[in-house]
Amino acid sequence: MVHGLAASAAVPRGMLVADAWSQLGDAVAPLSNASGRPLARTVKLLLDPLVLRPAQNPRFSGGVVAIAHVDALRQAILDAGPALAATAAWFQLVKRARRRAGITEGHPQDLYFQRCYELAHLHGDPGALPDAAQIAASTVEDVHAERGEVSVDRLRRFLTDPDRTAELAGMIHDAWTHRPSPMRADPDPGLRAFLDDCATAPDPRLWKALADTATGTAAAADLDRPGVASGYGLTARDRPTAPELGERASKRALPRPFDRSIMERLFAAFTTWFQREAMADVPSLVTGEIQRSAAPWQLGREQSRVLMALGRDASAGLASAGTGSGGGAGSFGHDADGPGLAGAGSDAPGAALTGTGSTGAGSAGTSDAHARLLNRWSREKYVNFALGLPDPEAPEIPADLLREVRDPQGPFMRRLWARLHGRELRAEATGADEVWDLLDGVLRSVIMDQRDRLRRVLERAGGPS
Amino acid sequence: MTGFAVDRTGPALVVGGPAPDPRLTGLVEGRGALLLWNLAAPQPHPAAIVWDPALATEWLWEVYGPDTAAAVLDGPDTVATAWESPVLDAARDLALLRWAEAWWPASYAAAVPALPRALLLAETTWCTARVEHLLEDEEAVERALSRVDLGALAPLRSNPGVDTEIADLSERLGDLAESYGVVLRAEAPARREDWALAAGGPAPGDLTVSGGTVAVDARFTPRGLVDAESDAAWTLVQRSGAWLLTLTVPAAPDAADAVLTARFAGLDVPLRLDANGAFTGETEAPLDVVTRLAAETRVLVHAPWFAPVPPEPGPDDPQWRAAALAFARARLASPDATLTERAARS
Repeated sequence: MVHGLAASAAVPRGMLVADAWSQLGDAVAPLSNASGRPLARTVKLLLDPLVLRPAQNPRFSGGVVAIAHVDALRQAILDAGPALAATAAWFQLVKRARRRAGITEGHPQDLYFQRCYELAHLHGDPGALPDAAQIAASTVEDVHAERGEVSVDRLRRFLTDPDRTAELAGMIHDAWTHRPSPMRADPDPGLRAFLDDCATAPDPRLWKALADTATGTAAAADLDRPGVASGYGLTARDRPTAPELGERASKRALPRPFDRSIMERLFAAFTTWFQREAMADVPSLVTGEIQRSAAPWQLGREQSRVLMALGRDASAGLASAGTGSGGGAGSFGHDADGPGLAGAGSDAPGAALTGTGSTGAGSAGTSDAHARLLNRWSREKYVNFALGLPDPEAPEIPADLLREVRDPQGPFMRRLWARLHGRELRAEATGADEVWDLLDGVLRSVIMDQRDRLRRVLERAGGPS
Repeated sequence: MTGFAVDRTGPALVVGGPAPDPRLTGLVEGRGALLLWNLAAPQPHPAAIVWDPALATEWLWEVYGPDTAAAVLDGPDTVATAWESPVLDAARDLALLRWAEAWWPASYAAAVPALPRALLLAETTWCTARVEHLLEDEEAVERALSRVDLGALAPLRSNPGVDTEIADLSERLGDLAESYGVVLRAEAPARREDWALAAGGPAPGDLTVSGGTVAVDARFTPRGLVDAESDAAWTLVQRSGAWLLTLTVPAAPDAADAVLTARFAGLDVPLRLDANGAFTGETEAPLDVVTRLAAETRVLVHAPWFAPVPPEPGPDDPQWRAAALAFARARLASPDATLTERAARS
């Protein structure tokens, strides 16, 4: 597998990892996919943060590893072999315990991988342990104890307690009447500069400076003007108003972020499984959420607000390309009169695929991050068609879906807000080098969601089944 | 050996020339690169659009081999590879299965059997799991698992020749689902009788005035509903003093019912699947339709939830359909046919 080593000065990291991983043998099969490679989540949750630690070991970071460090990387994985084998064995036991307990919620890899790694370090290989099954069972119990309906119930009881609702409503009123008046400022050129480099060479000093100078707060100044926040898709109202306390919430019908009650805001975060242990207790969550709702962008941290400003700028104008550009683009491909399908003409799908935006810093009109998002968005038209999904311009596609396909900025901003909100609740900071992944990941998630919805239209309407 | 030109002039790195016709393209969406198999000219290795080389470099060697992958990312303007690997095979199978889900040209007239859909979704899921480490969608396996229905897979297990493989696949998917926290569906398969409607077409007592057959243009419907290779039959009848145009459009093998509309001689005719395996419908026809009928050469069938129909649709392009049929036939006969394809032919 590594016979290509001598040919180049650097080796794909994935190849080195695959090679070292294969030497660990069947013992790590539960952490491997059907091709014998470490699962994507094995890399994300175990190998990267716990074994290779590219943040501490820059020589192991990036897509390629210099020849000089190849042996060190391989050795790091081989050294972790016994721990990984034990982790794999624990994972099998924990899955069995989960099955026995009848638990189906949450993603087993997300929930248990790191727990199993801990168990491996505490107890070693479970095979030699008489009470291993018991330990696995209590691990599962522990992971799920503070999850699910228990917490949502507690939240609901707290918010609907008649002794408390008046006080909490008063807190909302106070927080909203004492909102600082918006400080309007000229757009900070730092935002554009950061968007130009965030995908390739994010500047941590600029990232810090943007937050230190409250650039995100300044960018929120116009949100109270009629039509601005609704233009970004963050509210259905003409301008944001103070949230209700709320009594119930349903994941299916969450209003737009600024229209969500306090209950709905916290509920959305409570029903994501990952790392709930990092969240505060219910009373401080509620009071924190009330304060947050009155803050710029309705987010508590300046870093989040800067990200909303960056997301707003990067996602503006995606409507001009992509699946829903209307007119001839709508009937793309189905009609032989439409754009040439052989990929010859400039209107051909191939053109959208290979990039219409000008990537690379220095282009005058739009930022590099915008150009990259635009390229992703433009590709989707071709992919949608190749996958045989309904054309969003078809007459019976639901109007809200069509609107979002024509201009994804609304769903983009909503999803970005929700992710930042979740990060705040879990007290997760965002580094300069994570910004692009976050923005790109949000658009990807919007696209996947649209595909799922289009697929449901196809399947509901009686496609082959 | 597969050879490719590499174009490094644009914002994305293009391996293997402009993207092929999407109706004849097998796709795999990798992290930082899109892999495209042009099914009109099948090759073992895909063309690619590499839009983020830093991401793609981690896994592109799995597809092209280490040397060629390095050359693609930073080397001459033509590359070639003879790389073989199980991961490449899985990626190609995934691309072909996803194409088949969208475009498989099942047709009685062309003697192309339908692919068993439940098996197709199951095998797609397994191929997805085999390449999950290079896919861009972090939830690709979960998404695929959510479409698997073990109940619909069960009847296929009586198919000798593939029965043990299907049983084995079901078991592997069960384990996979457990590792991803997905509860697999296992619904009792719907029987055809459950939804079949009465036979359509002219009714007893109708006075047939004229009739004929025309080609079917099914560009604006999803694949697998109507048999695009068959001719449709129309009749103009008189019933209770009214003129009615009836249409009978042969359904594709194993088609499910769907609400379709046929545009014919300036009229829109609603179609439903009938008990005889045809999409049929009728509409009242104005008298002057008689003069137009003789000149009609095609009926345009469309699904209003699938595609918009331009006011003046151009002629269908028969080339891609011929290419799709040729490819499907070659797949059915191929020694490396997927389990789904082998189940369809047996």
